[in-house]
Amino acid sequence: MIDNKILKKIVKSLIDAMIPESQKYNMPSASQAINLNLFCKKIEKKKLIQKEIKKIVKTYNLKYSKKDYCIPFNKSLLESEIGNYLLNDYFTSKVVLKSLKNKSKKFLFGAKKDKLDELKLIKIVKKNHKFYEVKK
Amino acid sequence: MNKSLKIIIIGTGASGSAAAWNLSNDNLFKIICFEQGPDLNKNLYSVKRNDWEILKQKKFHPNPNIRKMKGDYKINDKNSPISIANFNAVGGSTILYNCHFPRLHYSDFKTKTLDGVGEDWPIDFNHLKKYYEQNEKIMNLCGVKGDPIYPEIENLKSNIPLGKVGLKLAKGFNKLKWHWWPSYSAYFRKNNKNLKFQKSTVKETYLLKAKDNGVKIKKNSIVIKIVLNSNNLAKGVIYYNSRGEKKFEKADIVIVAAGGIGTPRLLLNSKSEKFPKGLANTSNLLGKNLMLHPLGYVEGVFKDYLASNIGPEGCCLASHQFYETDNKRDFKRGYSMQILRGAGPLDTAMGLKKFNKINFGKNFHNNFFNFFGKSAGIAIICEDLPDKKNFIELDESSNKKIMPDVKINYKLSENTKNMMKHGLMNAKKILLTSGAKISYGYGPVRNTGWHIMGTAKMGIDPKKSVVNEKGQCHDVKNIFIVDSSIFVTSGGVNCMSTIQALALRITNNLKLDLKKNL
Repeated sequence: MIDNKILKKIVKSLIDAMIPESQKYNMPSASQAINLNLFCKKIEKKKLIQKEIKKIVKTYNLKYSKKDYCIPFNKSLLESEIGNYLLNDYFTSKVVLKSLKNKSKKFLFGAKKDKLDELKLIKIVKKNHKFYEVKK
Repeated sequence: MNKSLKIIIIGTGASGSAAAWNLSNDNLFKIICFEQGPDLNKNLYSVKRNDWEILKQKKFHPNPNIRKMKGDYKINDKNSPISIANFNAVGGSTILYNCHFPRLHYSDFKTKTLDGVGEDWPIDFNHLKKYYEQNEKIMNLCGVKGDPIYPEIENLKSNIPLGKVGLKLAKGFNKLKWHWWPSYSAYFRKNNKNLKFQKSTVKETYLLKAKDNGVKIKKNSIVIKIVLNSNNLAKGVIYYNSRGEKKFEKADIVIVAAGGIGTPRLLLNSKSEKFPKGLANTSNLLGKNLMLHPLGYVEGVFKDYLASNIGPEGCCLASHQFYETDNKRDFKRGYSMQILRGAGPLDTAMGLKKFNKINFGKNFHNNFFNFFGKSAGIAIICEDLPDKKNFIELDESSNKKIMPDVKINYKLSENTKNMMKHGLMNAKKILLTSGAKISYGYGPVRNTGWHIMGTAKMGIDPKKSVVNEKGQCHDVKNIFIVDSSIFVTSGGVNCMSTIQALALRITNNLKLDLKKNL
């Protein structure tokens, strides 16, 4: 069994490398958005992940480290193994959804100007209705 | 009043619920609805849930083979490029549908006469007109009147805005002089900050009223057989109740509303000495002529952020420009195009991952925001013509204790393939004209077999159809079918509106006939 604290530390480092914070888009990093404990529980059952993490622990002797690590990892393996879990948790997290909602706020759905544009466009269809003959 | 006549309705989806409401209005009959699925709390499938997009991947997936919810049965689709999509619960597929609610065209009822393909229905548009109107009012249809395709549709609630992406596409259509119109959608408006539009399902409309009228719903109850008496009339149904006990329920009239797969499945399983090929199947057409509306999909991406993910799920506008036969083309009949709002954040990210368009790492958000809120999809709904070689059958190999599962055998015809190709090409054309770049396009899309039609066809001749124009089985006079299995042809639009109009018409006629004899 991998020590829980070490597992969390490694996973945090990995997922933040996969989804880093973005100031440009005002989006949080993965670990800022998701529940790390729950996420670790989901992925720790995966044998390939266990194997990879053990390898990292062994190589970098993390037991004795107090720092957060940005560890080189097997990119393709991790992306295929935990990518979907990560996307699921990230894009359904409160923080991320709030940030996305704020982004769309200035595009008011059904704004007055849009409604007027819509009516103008509909009028054109009505005018041109002869291009389509209704068969009775 | 002594309700001496007992009516059993099998299925509580679009058609069963409309039938239950209509028959219960006069308080003359005792009505019991059977539903093999559960009655789900609305909060379980609400789009305002943060995890809604995760739920759609499994628990509320449209394909029952993936979903595996209580009440679902397996549908063997190895012999089909399209998987069946349905929902087995109180409210049926209206729980998951996208609320697009168009009527069939006049021409859809006489394709043989007009175009030499398919078959003519034994009824025409005018027979359904008043039921379309009644149904649209009950289902709370939103839209804009004055559509050149449906000039008669008038009583509509104010339409759902097109949104920025809809406006872009509408301009593109106008540039090409192609028909388009804001979607006819069944939605309730809410004064809720988080949820402005709520789907109109039959749970909030027909079933609510039917329950008030005294209709009983037996949920989690699987009807496995309709049993006949010595006069070849249905005397009741055998079912498994929610505790798994085998029971019999007596009936004077049985109305089957289990959908294009569930209805033939039940009737095929109700075979007897008198009907060895399946109940009410002397025509040998039960399960045949399966039509599925093969769906093509093209996605385009705009340069600017358009908040295309905002607004109710589903279609914001539709075009019927290529709906009717044009002899210059290499196919008969046609298709409709539906402009879909952009996907939610998780669907967007998953789609990008599938097509290797998003990379984890420092470019993750750049990749994501290149698409999110900027995309629009076009669904091409191809008219499917009836073909006996497309059919469903009981999957005896499934060896189920309660009831055999179902196997579908389905191929796209050359006509449909050509239609699909044409549709994909034109969807790309409209996206490019509107200023989008094409992201991808393909068809048929696998998990889109929502519109399951034709498997218990309506007709005048008992040798060539399963039910008559009143939905009454030719072979067993007190069994009626009211769902999409009685469609003669498919049209090129979503079938919900027509299913419910047919259910209202059939049950209205039945009510009148029964009242005469009371």
